[in-house]
Amino acid sequence: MNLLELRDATFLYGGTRGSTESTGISSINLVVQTGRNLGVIGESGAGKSTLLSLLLGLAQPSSGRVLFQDEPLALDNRRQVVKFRTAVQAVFQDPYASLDPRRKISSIVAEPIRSLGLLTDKTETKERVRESLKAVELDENIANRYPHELSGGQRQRVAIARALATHPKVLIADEPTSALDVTTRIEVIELLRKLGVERGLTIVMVSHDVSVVASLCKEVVVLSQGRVVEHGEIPEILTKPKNEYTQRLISAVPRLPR
Amino acid sequence: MSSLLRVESLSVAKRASHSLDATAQDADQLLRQVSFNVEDGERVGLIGESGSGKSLTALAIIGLLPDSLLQSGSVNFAGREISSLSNRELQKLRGREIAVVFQEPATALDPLMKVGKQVAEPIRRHFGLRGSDLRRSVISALDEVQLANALRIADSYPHEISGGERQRVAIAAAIACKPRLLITDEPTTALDVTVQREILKLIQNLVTERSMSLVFITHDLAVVAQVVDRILVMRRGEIVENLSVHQLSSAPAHPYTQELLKSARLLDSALGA
Repeated sequence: MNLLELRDATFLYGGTRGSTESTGISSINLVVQTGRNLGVIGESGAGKSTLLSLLLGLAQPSSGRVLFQDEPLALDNRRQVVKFRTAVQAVFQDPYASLDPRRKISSIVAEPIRSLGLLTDKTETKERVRESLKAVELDENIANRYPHELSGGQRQRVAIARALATHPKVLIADEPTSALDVTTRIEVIELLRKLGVERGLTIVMVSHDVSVVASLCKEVVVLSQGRVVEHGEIPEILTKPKNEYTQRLISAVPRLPR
Repeated sequence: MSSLLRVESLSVAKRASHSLDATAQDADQLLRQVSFNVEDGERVGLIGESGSGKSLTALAIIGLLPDSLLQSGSVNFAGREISSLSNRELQKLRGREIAVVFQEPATALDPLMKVGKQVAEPIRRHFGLRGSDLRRSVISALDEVQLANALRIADSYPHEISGGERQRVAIAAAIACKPRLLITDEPTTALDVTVQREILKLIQNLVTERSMSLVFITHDLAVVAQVVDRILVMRRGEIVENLSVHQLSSAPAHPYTQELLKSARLLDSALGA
């Protein structure tokens, strides 16, 4: 069974200038399989955000399908959507923007459990929050603090803890380390890798940063102008890119001096 | 070789700290005794993570710190002490002798003003050019940053051109008056990697052709290593290490530099040999 799949999915933005102003995506095929982290690489305007909103069930494709556990995802089917949102969670780029500044960390981490109605018991919820914070290696005392009291790296860990709270199968990470310093970036990548192994979590990493994607994903699709221009395993894509755009992208990545 | 820029014991602190608590005062100290030289034609990288004081150093050099901050120490440019100059005198220097390119070209440019006019502004101010002479000078500045269609770009508003084009425009405006020192603050951080490569090449070429000195501020070791000769590593308002690019891979002495290098290496190694 595939966890998540885009089958010939196209999304076009409306409006008269839509076709030139914002990139949709066209005819994308993509399969997320258990235990196989998938990287989606693309630069600005490649269609990453559009792809994400389809994968996260925030938009319906104009044509083609989004499949969740081999069944078409119907956003008006409440039962299926609850199941889907429990299994597919997300972490976004900017931990400053994605955490509600007026709420304590405990309430932020419990949010998906609450909104999906997964646990009704207070003690159980509290226990789940504690477990999630522990999984991201944060001290449990942090539960009583507010986002502004934490560093950027800690906030991103909170965002990951919130995603883990539903015990998801897939974690969709949208540029999860782009706003972080390089030393913190390494820690978060390491954490995601560990969570993948320990919790059987499959990660879909969407990023413009080839090295971050390569650190975590074996399989990669390269997105350009709304299309998948290359799809394969990371070592091949890094060493023998076939597509002209992929070649340009890979060769532009700055490298450290030997 | 004479130093074009000599920064000595530059410190910056928050003004009027109400706290007598020693640790709080310590936190109010944003730059501590920063000293470095930039020789004529030399390219120096200022590297560090967020909050390390990189941008603050740049702002202090060109006298653009907000009033809430207190600056001490010496900034000597071309043999002249500039840290005590009046704002009026500094304005003659900024753009003419020392120019700055900031990270985000979308905010560095005025959204309501055509690009050509923004490039014209420093030329008009410093060289007093007007009319067709000014226009010619603007077009040649845009040509120099290799904008394919300088005439069209000059008549565009910032939102009508791409991010890479905007950064080229910002560079054109910065170098239009032929400054001797160019300071770039994360000039490619907001750009795609394919565009980043072009902009880095452009900065390198311009600096070489005009024998400008360069202070290149970035958080990215791999980027800085491509552009500069020497690297200053900043952490918590201090320069913790000063080393040549060649020494970077073999001999960083400070633990923080080693840690930065280790993280960068880990990411780099994911890209294969």
